[in-house]
Amino acid sequence: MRGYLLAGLLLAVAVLIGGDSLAQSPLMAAGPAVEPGFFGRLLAQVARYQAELQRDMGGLVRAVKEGDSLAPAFLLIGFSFLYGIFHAIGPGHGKAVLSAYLVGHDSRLKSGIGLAFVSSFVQALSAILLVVVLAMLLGATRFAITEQVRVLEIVSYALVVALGLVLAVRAWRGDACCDHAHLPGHTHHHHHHDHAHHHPEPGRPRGIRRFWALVAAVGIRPCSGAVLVLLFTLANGLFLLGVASTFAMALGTAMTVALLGIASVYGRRLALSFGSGGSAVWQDRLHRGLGVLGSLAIVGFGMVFLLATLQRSFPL
Amino acid sequence: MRRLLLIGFLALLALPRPATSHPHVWIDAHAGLKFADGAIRAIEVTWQFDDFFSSMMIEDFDADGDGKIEGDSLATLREQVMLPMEEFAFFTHATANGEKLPVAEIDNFSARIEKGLIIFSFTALLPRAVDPRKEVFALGLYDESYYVDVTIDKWDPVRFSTADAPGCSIDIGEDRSKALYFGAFFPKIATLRCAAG
Repeated sequence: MRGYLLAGLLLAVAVLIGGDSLAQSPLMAAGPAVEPGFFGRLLAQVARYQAELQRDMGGLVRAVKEGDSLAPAFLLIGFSFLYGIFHAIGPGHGKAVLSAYLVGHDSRLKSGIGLAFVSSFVQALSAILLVVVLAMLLGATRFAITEQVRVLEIVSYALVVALGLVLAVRAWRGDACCDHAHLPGHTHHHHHHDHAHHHPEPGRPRGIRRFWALVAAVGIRPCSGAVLVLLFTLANGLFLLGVASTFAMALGTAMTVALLGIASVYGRRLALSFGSGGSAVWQDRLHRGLGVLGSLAIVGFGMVFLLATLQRSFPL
Repeated sequence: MRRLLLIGFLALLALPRPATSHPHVWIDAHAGLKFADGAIRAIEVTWQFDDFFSSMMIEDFDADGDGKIEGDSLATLREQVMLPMEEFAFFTHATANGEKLPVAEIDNFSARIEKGLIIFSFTALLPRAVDPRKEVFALGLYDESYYVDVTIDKWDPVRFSTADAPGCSIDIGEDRSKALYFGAFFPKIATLRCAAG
């Protein structure tokens, strides 16, 4: 039973992270006359739903502005929630980074879910703050605002790369941090390297600084879909509706990302379970290997996104 | 078995993700073929933007709210939004017998607002003239990076006058050699088929 659950979760991870990579891999995109693979079709369907939702949302905002009832407002919030779910299935929203972090360092379910929700919330706040400060307070052009989104993206990816490097070093040094209580990784293993092996003080939540560092790195990038909605509602004199819509979107996004977070947590547990019954040295190696691999993946993702954003000149 | 699962899982994690982002702008487009001396010289393109993007452009470029974009505003719009599109061939991908005809220049750029949506019109200049009777002319309107989702008009996406090209008709197909957005879509291509002679 648990085996099937695990397999199911790994499949969810495959869809959410690997799907797009697989769809582009040499195995699937071999030359002309290729039918889109399963993942390609899934992404296409998701993109179509997003387009539909975005068009409907625009219409709903107008309906609120012109009409008397609040019904379209509630519909808008519902649609925003759905938009958030679909929006997060496509590339972006820190999924790859959070997933890599969890597999490399943290096997606690509450970390997986917590990271997803808090970072989505911060991305919403980032979008709102951006529009309030630039559009409302400074009267910046929409063009300037979208440029700023790009700047924040670059900052975010740079932070992700830096954080990944720090984590890689810590993992290399054998930092034991954030695991589920009864997993092998939690046992205090002795090894011969001379370094400061930190144990969090009893009673203090473990890995809290990493949690917030990761949330900050991933969250500083505003959700671009939210920025669009906020600017549109602002232009139509309905900014608060835009704020509500943004939080609804964040909730939807959080759910999708949390799904991946849960799968990642189980992924790490599965990986660490290879060490059970093994020697302390083997456990230590497994622990460190996962940590370094996960951290390097974070660096890798950060760099790919950073380069892509630097190359892209289209606003937003 | 578990080892395989683990390796597979880690491999997925380690794969670098491709650089494209999902679309944030939607355009409804159609085109008209401009002939001179029996050969196609340019393409008249029309783009209708979505609600959200239109709203942003209207905020920035129709400051007086009169529903018109002209003069300096139009010039700035052209410079800030339109000309940077050259990098993406203005989403206008034309071929003659499969040979790419890169669009590097545009002319007659104008923008108007209809029902809150911004519409761009411009003429995309082809690097050389194409006689559709001698070469197979094909046109696709799409963003290769799929940041912008360009949808061509369902009924009449590529128009031309029969006086210019008698005996020719448009065939809409998909370009299977170009997968967009992680292999999810293939761009629609309009091919001009002309009866021989």
